[in-house]
Amino acid sequence: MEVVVEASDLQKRFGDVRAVDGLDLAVERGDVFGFLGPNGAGKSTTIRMIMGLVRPSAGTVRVFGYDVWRDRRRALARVGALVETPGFYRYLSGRQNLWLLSELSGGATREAVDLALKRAGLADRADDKVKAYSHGMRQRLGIAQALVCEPELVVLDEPTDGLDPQGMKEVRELISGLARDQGMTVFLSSHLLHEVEQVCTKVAVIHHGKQMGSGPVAELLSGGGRVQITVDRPARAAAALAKLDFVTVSAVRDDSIIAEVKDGRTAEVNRLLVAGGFEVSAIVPKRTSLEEFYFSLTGPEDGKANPA
Amino acid sequence: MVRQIRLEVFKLVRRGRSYLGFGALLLISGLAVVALLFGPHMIETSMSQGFITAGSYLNGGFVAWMMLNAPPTALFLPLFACVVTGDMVSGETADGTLRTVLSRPVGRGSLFAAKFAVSVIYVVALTLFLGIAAYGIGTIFLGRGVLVTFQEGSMLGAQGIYVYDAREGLTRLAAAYAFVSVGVLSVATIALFLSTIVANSLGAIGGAMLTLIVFGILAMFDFFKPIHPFLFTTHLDRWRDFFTTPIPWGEIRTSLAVLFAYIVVFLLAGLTVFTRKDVIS
Amino acid sequence: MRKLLLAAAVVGALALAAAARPKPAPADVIGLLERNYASIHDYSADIEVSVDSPQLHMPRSAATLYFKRPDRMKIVPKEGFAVLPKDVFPGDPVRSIKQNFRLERLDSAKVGNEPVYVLSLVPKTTDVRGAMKLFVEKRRGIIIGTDADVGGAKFKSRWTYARVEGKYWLPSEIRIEMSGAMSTPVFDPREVKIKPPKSGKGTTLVRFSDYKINRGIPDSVFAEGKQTSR
Repeated sequence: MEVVVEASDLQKRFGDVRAVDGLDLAVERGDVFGFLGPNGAGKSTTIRMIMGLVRPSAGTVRVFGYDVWRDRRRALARVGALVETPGFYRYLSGRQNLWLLSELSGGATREAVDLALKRAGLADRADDKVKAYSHGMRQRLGIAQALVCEPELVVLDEPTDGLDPQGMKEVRELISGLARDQGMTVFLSSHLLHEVEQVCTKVAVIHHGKQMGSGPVAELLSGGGRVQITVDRPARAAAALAKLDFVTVSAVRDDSIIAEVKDGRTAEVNRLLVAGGFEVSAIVPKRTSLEEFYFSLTGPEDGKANPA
Repeated sequence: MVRQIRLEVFKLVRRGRSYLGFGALLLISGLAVVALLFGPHMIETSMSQGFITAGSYLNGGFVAWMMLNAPPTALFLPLFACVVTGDMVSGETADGTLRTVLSRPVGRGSLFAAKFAVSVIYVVALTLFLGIAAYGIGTIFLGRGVLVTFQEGSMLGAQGIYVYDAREGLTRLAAAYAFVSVGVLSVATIALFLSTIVANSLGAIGGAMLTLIVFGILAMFDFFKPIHPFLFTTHLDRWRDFFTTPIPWGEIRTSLAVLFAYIVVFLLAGLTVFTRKDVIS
Repeated sequence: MRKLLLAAAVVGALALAAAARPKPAPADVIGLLERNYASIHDYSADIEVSVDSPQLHMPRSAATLYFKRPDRMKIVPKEGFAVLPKDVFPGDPVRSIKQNFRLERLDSAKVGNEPVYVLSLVPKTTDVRGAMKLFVEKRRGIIIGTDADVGGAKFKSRWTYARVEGKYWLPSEIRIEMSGAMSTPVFDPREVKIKPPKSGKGTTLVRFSDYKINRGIPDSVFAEGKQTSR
């Protein structure tokens, strides 16, 4: 599978501060790649290095195989991006901004501009000056300018920032559709774990400038053998299970136990509990939430990501 | 790069502050004509001992010449140019549009070159506009005629008075304004360079104007005479030589060389900074 | 012998007569000039002035000069602005001289081979450059030059004439050579200091052509519209 974005030992220092410290990334074509991390972890700096806005102190970053600093025109030719709060020319209209930015990417037809404005929900305000736009409208325009030239890679940094719940939902659906229907690769940085969990196919977590974990979402959140056992007398049942070498009890609740069962031996667990006189109501595989995965990497005191 | 220049021009003409300079210079030209119509101007006094004067030297050509000579022009023309060029990079940095633009597949070098090209266009347009406005308003209210200029002194007493017929006067005025545009461009390029290193346009504009003022002060004092030839402000006034006979082409060439050197140096410095800078705002 | 004595007597008588003739006064010389201009009631002429001096550089300034007795004069520039040196006594030279100068001593000299009266003029007004010597050709009663020495600056004019309409001797060209300090000190606001007077050498050339004498210039020509300042 073609690697669309590749970062290799990427580093960035601002004075004595190591904002990014040896980051490796690989985003394959078709991925909806979620990039997570707490504030100050290095997400924005990484995205800026991918977009050629910030020069790496060491390491390389390639987009479509081209070094972004050495060959930025070719590297970014098929990229659309929304980097933080989008900046627009306040004295121009939304349409004029979109036209001007598309011209920098080789141009877009009038129809493409109109479509981008329509998809962003700005068709009615397209000819108003941007200085009259609300924050949410500018965010939509930011997404529109990222998509107007039909890119193959879309880099979105906090795309739902400033949007109302309806807007957030629309953006999520839009992002899912980009990969599914238009074959675009999406690189998404967000604080909203729930949003990332819903739309991304892969995630990477960055903390203190380093990658803490990454992989396909389905795999990371599959639970890997975790089960929730609904049983009477959970505490006594947990004590009994603790003696088994293939079971690790991680939590005891009022009416259930959370445990990791290796090698898929849940049927054996059920048999042993029943044989021990316990009433087992249900044994259900327990998925890891992205929040749990995230905090397991970043630690709760640092993790400032918003779960919802 | 042609496309980028076109886009920069597109932005320039749609921005209100681009017209600030044009409006102000039009106003100043109008006020100058009013001052000439109703105020004291005794250039004849300098000649009165030996000559009878007939007619009036007040005409469009004289207004156009006088605007170059007027102290406000020496300050306002570069200022209005810097208002635009000093905002070229720093203004976009502050607004976040630089980040948006550089997320596009545009070379930083060609983008900066396009901004410089538009700076040149703007400076030349602004300077020529001053000449055309002054000449036009002057001609409307005062008519046309010979061009009377003076090298030293002031309107109230002058020496080195040079008089040219209307056609030759116009040619010399055109050459002088062309020269002045190079001078203004030198200040504007300093503003453009500063625009790449400061985060707001006020710093770039202020810095360029401060440079103009400080260098101008240094050029006034004999103590700094050894460095006078290297100060660009020393050469800004060379436009006056287009109104002497014979025209000292050698000195004009030298002044142009110094001014172009400043333009090239600050352009390259700005280009170097711009192509390497981290866009973190 | 007798013839010789007769010739000697005639020569002696003539010499005595000449010696007995009273020496002309300055006013007489002015009268000589007046006779030359007496029959001119009005005239117009095209004038072309070029000046090349440290103070003023003017390659060409064209105008039409109108004069009508007793004292009306107007210069109408062809390109909006013109200058005319005062040394040429425009209009009625005699009136101008009488108005602005006191006639002092009178001498005789030769300019080239031409005998001339040399009249010393002392200014009565501040409207003229300064004291000067006026050279008047005895034969035709015309001004052929001036010499002025004013505070270190020297002005020397030489006049060339043409016969106009078969009877009037009028200047066709006046050349003025200048040297020394030719202006006053001025304050230069650019350099914030007082600049000394300009000095050096220079030439002013005034050419007269297309004289029209006694055509009856209407008074309206001299009417409003400040064309001439003195």
